[in-house]
Amino acid sequence: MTRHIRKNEYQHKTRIDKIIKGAFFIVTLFCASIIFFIVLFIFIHGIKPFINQYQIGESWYRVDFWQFMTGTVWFQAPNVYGIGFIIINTLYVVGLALAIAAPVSILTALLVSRIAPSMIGKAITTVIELLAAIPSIIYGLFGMGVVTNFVKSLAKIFHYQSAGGLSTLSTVIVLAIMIIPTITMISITSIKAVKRDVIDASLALGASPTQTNFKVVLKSAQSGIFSGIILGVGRALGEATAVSMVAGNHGSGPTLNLFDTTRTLTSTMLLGLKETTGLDYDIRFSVGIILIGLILGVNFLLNMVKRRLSR
Amino acid sequence: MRKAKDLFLNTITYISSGFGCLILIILLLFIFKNGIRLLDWSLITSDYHQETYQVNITNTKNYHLGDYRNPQMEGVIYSNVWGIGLQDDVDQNNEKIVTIKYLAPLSPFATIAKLEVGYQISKMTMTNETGDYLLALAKSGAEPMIAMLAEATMITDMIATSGGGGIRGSLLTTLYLIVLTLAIALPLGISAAIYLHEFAKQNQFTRIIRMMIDITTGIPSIIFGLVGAIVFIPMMNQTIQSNGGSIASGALTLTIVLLPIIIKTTEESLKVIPDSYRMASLALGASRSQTTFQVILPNAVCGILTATLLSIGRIIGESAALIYAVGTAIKDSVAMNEKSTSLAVHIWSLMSGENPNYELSCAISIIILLIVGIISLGVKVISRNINKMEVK
Repeated sequence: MTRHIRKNEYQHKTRIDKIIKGAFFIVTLFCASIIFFIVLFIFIHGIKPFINQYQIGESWYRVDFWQFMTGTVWFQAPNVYGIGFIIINTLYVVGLALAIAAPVSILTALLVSRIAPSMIGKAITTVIELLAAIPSIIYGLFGMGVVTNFVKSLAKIFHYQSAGGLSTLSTVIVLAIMIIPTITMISITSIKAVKRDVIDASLALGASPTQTNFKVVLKSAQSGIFSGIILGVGRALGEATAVSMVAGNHGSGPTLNLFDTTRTLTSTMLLGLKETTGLDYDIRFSVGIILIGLILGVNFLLNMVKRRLSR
Repeated sequence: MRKAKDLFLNTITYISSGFGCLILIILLLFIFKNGIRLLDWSLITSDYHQETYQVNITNTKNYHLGDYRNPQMEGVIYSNVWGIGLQDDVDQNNEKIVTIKYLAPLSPFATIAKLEVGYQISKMTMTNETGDYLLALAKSGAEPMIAMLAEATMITDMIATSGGGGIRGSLLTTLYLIVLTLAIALPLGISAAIYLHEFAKQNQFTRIIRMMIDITTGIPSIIFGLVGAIVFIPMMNQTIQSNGGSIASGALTLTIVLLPIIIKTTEESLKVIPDSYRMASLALGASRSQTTFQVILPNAVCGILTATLLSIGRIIGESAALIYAVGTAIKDSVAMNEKSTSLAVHIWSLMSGENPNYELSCAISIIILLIVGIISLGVKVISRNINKMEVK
């Protein structure tokens, strides 16, 4: 009798187990499929301007995809959109931001984890963590209030009239500030993970601590540092709010002059958002597709480089 | 030579880290210098949009003029004919306004026009004894207004405003967003983390699922905003009869932003729980689900708390996604199925107009920074506790 009850109870328990496992599995599947749905929905919505006809004034128009990809002017009435120059601008701005942020971050990480006394190291780590926690809207505010003024006076020194400081340079500076914490924190982790043996070996061979830090430690940590850079670039490419506040959204391009206003993919999507229907709204989703593609592409390329470096 | 080179390299590292510190200091200085003036209780409790009163005092039988006592207040210009004390002031947009600083109890402004101390006068049209019209505007200051009041016998038209510039609506919206988003995202995220760590076989399929969740973390928030705009806004329009963006569509959008973060953080905390706990529980005859709910979850509380705090921080700071999924219209009355702005989007609305409002933006930023600071402190304290457990 007791045996019978036990068996029942056991079956009951396993049934509950199965139900719960099944429910959790469905939830997990849902969470994992989000990325799939995101890409799918944006793709479906974003190709509309190239397929559907939109009524503008009296006649019906669609957007030419080839012109869209290679154009050097964002909008020409009624139906010509171009983002070729915007892609170049975006890569240019992110590249320059990385050129500032990467050295600063790597050296900071080296100082925190190898050179500075632990008190200073901890203080700087706290500063970096605080910088990482500041939301992008506040960086945008800081960019508008401080960075643009700095760039404006810098432009004046070079006798150049900038648009109130809204410029490529401001965008680069704001982006650099925003990705420094990302790269630094991951670099710190990977530098701290360098094996003691490697460092000791270098010191035993007569290298000074500084030589060891710069030639051995950085070399051994390079794969981790590169992951940090990849993350930083991803963040810089997708950053919208802060960039929109300092870019100036130039209508044509590409902008290579540091003191001229620029336009990135994200600022194009965010600025001038008025109506929620029509061609001007839908075309932003097309820009979204390109942004996703660009991020995935750059990520893939950098990962290739990383694999080659670590070989 | 080698020493000099070493010194040089070390100096460079110090200079680079000085850069980060310098940025933080300048940023904090800028935010606090601009925002501290507005930071008080009334900022949090008052509405953003001003209440406007249009009044007139024309029925001469109902009031008398001329013999009000001067209260002798510092910096206040006083009219003893009308019993009102005015002061020059600037509003949040740095435009000149005239504020009522004193009202005699029997002054017609108090008894007939029902104005109160603290209201702002933007325009006043008066007539004098001979019937001529006098016009006093706020931008010319309090002194001419008082001088005209001395001659006037009637106020034919007057526009006064009260309040305004507060962030009560946006603060409420942010709270709504936090509660609603966490209510949806936490259960989903925690169940997924439990499945991945406790139930799933570690095979190729699970690896792909993990990878997909990882990729979601790298998607920029503006893309989530686009998804909110084309998926959740129409969905909410159908179900809760909202018109365009709403807090509900914003919360759903934030849910998919947060899910990967919650899953990752919770899973990290599950990893820390020693396997002996699971084995002990199973050996005592508890089922898988009993073990999960009664042994694993109570021990993962720290991790779940960290996930919650990180999520709150992300919700408060999120702007790009909400601009698309909710909208940028600042509201004072907050409802689930209507548009309104979170604190961060409030700043965006203030800054993207024709005249950017630095002062109010910086004041809101101080509030955001305070909350974010408390959150990162909390996360640090909790993670220290988790580390202690790991050592055990």
